[in-house]
This record gives sequence, structure tokens and C-alpha cells, in this order.
Amino acid sequence: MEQRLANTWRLTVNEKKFIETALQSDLRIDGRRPFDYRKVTIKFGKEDGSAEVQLGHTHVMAFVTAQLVQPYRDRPNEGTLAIYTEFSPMADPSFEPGRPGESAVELGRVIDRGLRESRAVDTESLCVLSGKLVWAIRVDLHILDNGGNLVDAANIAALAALLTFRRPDCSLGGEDGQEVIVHPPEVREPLPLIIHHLPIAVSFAFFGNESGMVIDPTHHEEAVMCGRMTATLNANGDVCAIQKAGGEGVLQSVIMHCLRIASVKAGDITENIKKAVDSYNIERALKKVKRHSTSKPMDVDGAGSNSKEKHNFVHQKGINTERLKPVDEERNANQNDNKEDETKLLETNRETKDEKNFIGAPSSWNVNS
Amino acid sequence: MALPVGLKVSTSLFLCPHLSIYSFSYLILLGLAIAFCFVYQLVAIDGLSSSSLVLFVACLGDTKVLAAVYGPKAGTRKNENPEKACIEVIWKPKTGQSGKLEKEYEMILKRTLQSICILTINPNTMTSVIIQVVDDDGAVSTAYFCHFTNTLLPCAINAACAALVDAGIPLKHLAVAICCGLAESGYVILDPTKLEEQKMKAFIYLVFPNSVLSVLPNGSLQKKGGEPLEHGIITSFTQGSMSVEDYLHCLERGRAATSKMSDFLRRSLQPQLPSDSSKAG
Repeated sequence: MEQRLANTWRLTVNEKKFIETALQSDLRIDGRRPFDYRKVTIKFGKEDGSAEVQLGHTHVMAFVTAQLVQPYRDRPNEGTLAIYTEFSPMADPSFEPGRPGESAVELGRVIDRGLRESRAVDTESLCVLSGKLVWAIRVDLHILDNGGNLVDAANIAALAALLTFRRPDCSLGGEDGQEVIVHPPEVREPLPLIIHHLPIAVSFAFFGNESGMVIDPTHHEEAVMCGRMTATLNANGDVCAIQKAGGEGVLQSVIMHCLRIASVKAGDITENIKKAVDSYNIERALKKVKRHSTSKPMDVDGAGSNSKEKHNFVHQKGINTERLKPVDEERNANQNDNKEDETKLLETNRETKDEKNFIGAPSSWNVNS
Repeated sequence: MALPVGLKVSTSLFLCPHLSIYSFSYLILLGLAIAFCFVYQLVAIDGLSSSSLVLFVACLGDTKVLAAVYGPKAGTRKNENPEKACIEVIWKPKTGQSGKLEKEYEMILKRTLQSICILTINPNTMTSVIIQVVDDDGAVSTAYFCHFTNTLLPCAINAACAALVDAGIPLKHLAVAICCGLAESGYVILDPTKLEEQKMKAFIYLVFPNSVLSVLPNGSLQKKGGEPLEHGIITSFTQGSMSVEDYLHCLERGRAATSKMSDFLRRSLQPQLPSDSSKAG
């Protein structure tokens, strides 16, 4: 434990003074104005329900998974939503692995309040069998890099992941209609979650000595600030949650000012998230279209080139493709054929990236043809 | 504090063998999975100690793993030998709590990395290697209640090795890892995908040393009194039962395949060394 504390980064007094003095003239060390957000980049993973958000140097990943469980006794008709935060030691040398520390728990709670208690995610639609089986949605947030303002980034990541998550479709069957059949994604298209509104967290940092406040503090500014406040609002202007845990006292007028700024920022970020999610959904729909595969055997010796050359490979492969196709038709016990069949199938699998086409693959693995 | 800098990003197309190979024929590289390697540099926040922070993403087909290295830091853990440097591995799964499977991965990684690092150079220090699973290409649920995806471990070993190089931790040689799957009919498949995994009866994870000699073409291999160094095995981890012959076949196939992978790893790490003066501290 002492090792971790010894490795904690500390800001020098000169740096602190510089940041404070600069803020008095409304200058921030990274060149932003006091109420400017850093650039938000939202990327999605291969699976549904995984999102990666970069807010300046802050890097957060969110994964959403669902499981069928028994509901709580006092809420038999509702599913559950749980948020788990992991402050990975990758993010900061002072983060310890194992049990979440104070700030991790606080972050989890702020996001939880914003999402769950404001009823952003519709939990009644997650009910399968009243009183017996409901969907439990689990959001895992991994903080990969601490560049300041983890709450906002984690919130955006959680929202993006929830918006792109698809849960398996299930139906009731069996003799008495009590058995639940979960359909795999190949059989029935998985369903998205119903999300009513997007609560966006906006964080403010307060500095003493009339330095005022800034939005979206960086790591350095967080080390200097005297107090912080996080306001979770949605684009409709509703305040979902406010968190101001200790720190310096601020005037009421300042708080109201912050809320007004936050509602503007929330609108911007909502637009950003919706755009990213829409483009992901379009891409996803395009992937589902079954296309005729073009097999691409690739040459490993060309592996020094950059990714642009990947497209040029198609020309080389044209020749190889011709070679493969006629061989494919013969079904003898020749080892080469099996290799190339396998190749063709593997390439098909990779090309379409769609599990519907995979159904044929295991059976054609049969080697004793 | 991650900073995908144009200078430091090395995106190289890596095509790794992804194909069934019968024991007689030599390696025919058709049908390869694409692997990308990205390097991000975490901005060093620690001005006091000379910590090197490096984030390395390794993708092998659809499996994606992030590796970060912090160190050397002062002081070792209580039970470790203070005469040597110590390596600590933290494995973060994609979802859920760290369980026994993660501890097993951590142990394998730790022992593998300990054998490639020169531990006597920085005594009484600790280097942390943090592995974060981003994408595990689905998982094969076995009867042991644990999801075990078979390209995760080799991917993580490759990522960790590259991260160590980037961080400047002194190493004896690099390491390159591969997974071999053995089907019932005796076929050996290198680097199986999720679907192929279901047909396998056994798996072997192999880690080979990746020194300069291993990437030279066959003609110029120099044997120094017996077997050359690069024929050694750093780690071998098996799952399932197999005959001795099958195991030896897998070894040969794996070794042949890893020479290409070694080449790729070296090439992607190399541009960083001359241009980058110091990331540490």
C-alpha cells in the first residue's frame, strides 16, 4: 500500500500557482475557455453493447451484458440495471487493484443515480415471467486512462453502450406457458433496450480566490481545484441528479449558473452520442446484408505494409481465388482440398462477419469425405 | 492520458496462420486472420520516479487485448526476493469479477515474463503489467464453469512482451506465443477461432523465444553446440489429452509459424527505438 502512495503523482507548488493564476484571467492550461468541453470520441466494439469513449486524454470503456435472474421481491415486474466500476491500475499508478476505492464507488453511484433512478432505462420491458424471471442488465465500466473528469466520460460510455446493446429475444413456451426459451441471435434478431431519455453528466470544478469555475477539468486542474460538482441533466431540461460532495462552498447563484450551462452542454453531448449510435446502427444493418464472399488468401510476407495496402491485396487474390474455386468442387480425400475448403470457409466467415453463415461451417469440417 | 501520436503509432498488417495443417505438409499460409497492433503512449504523469507507461493493443483476429506496463517502481512485495526485480501481473476480465481463471492467467504470464526479463539489473523494484481484455472473440464454455477463450492468453503474452519493450524494461529476448488446437483426427490447427475451438479435443499454448536468429531464413541458422536457442520453449500449457507424437507435431508447427510472427513483432517495434529518445520518466 505504501508503494502505491509513494508512486502517487503530486503537482508542484509552482504548477498549482500557475494554474490558479491563469484561471483568474480565464485561461486554461490546455488552451480551452472555461466552459469548453474537450473533444469526445465514441467508438464501438465488435459486439453489441461495447463502447469506448475518449474525452481528451481520459479513456473509458463500457460493456453491457444481460442475464436472466429472479427479480427482487418488491418489484416482481421489473428488470434490474447494475453498474460496476473498475478503476484499472492501467489508468493511474495510484489506483489499486481489487476492491473499488472511494472515488470508484462515488463514480458508480453518480452514474447509477443518473441512469437508474431517473428511469432512463425502461425496466418493465425487461420482465419475462412476472415474479420468476427478468433480465438483469449489467454495465461494466473500465477506466483505462485518467486524464481528469472520469464521471462524464464514464457516463457517455455507459449511455453509448446501453444504446447499442441488444438483448436476446425470448418467448414463453412449454406446456403451461411457463418455460422461457431464449432465442440465439442467429434465429431471432436480438432486441434493443428501451431508453426514454439520455441523462448526461456535466462536471464543474470550483477554484478559490475568485478564480471562478471551469467545466470538464483535466487531471492537473483536478489536483488544484477546491470543490467539484456534477450535474446530470437530459436534453429535455430535466435535472436527473446533482452531486456536490463537500469541497468549497459556493453561492446559490453560481449553482444556478452552472445548471444553465450544463443544460446547453447536455444538449450538445446528446447530439454527439446520437450521431455516433446512428452511424453504428447503419453499419450494423449493412453487415447483416448477406453478401457474396470474396475469398482473400493473404500473403504473410507482405506484412510490412500499412493498412492501405490491404485493399490492394484484392488484386493479388483474384488469382488465388480462381485456383481455389475449382478445387473446392472436387471432394476427395486429398489433404490440400481440405485445407483450401477450410480456408474458403474461414474466409467466408471473416468476410461476412455474420453468424448466420456459419451454420454450414462445422458440418463441412468433415474430413473423411 | 493516452495519446495516439502519429509518430508512435505503428499499424502493421499482421497476418497470422489460421488454417488446418496436416503433419506432412509444410506451412501453407492461405486464409489468414488479420491482426493489428496499435501503440498508444500514456503521457507520463509521474515526474518523480522513472516510471515508464506504455499501452499496447494487440489484436489477433477478433481477440483484442490491452497491455500496460508501469515500472520499475520502488520496493517489492513482501514474499519476493529483494535481490531481484519483481514482476506483477494484473489481469482484468471484460466483465465480472476477477476469479480463479484470471489468477491462473496472471500466474502463467508472470512466470513467462519473469523468464524473459533480466531480473538482476534493477533489484528490489517492481514492474506492473496490467492486461485488459477488450474483445475475446466469444468464449468456449467448458464443463468447468469457466469461459476459456483460446486466443486470449497468447494475445496477452504478445501484448505484454511488446509493452515491456516499449517501456524499456531490460529483456533477454522477446517472446512470441501461439495457440495450437488438436482435433480428433490428428489435424493441427494454429490459432483457432471460436467455431474451430468447438471441434478441438485438446489445446496447447506455446511461448517461444524470439531472438534475432529465429527470424533469419533457414539457411543462416547457426547451431552453437547442439540445439539453437530459438528452439527452446519458454512456456507450454496444455488442456486436454493428446499423444506424445501429436504434441511434438504441434511444437514443430508452432515453432515454424512463430518465426513469421516474430518477424512481424520485431518490425512493428523497431521504428520506435531510434526516433523515440526517452519515454521513461
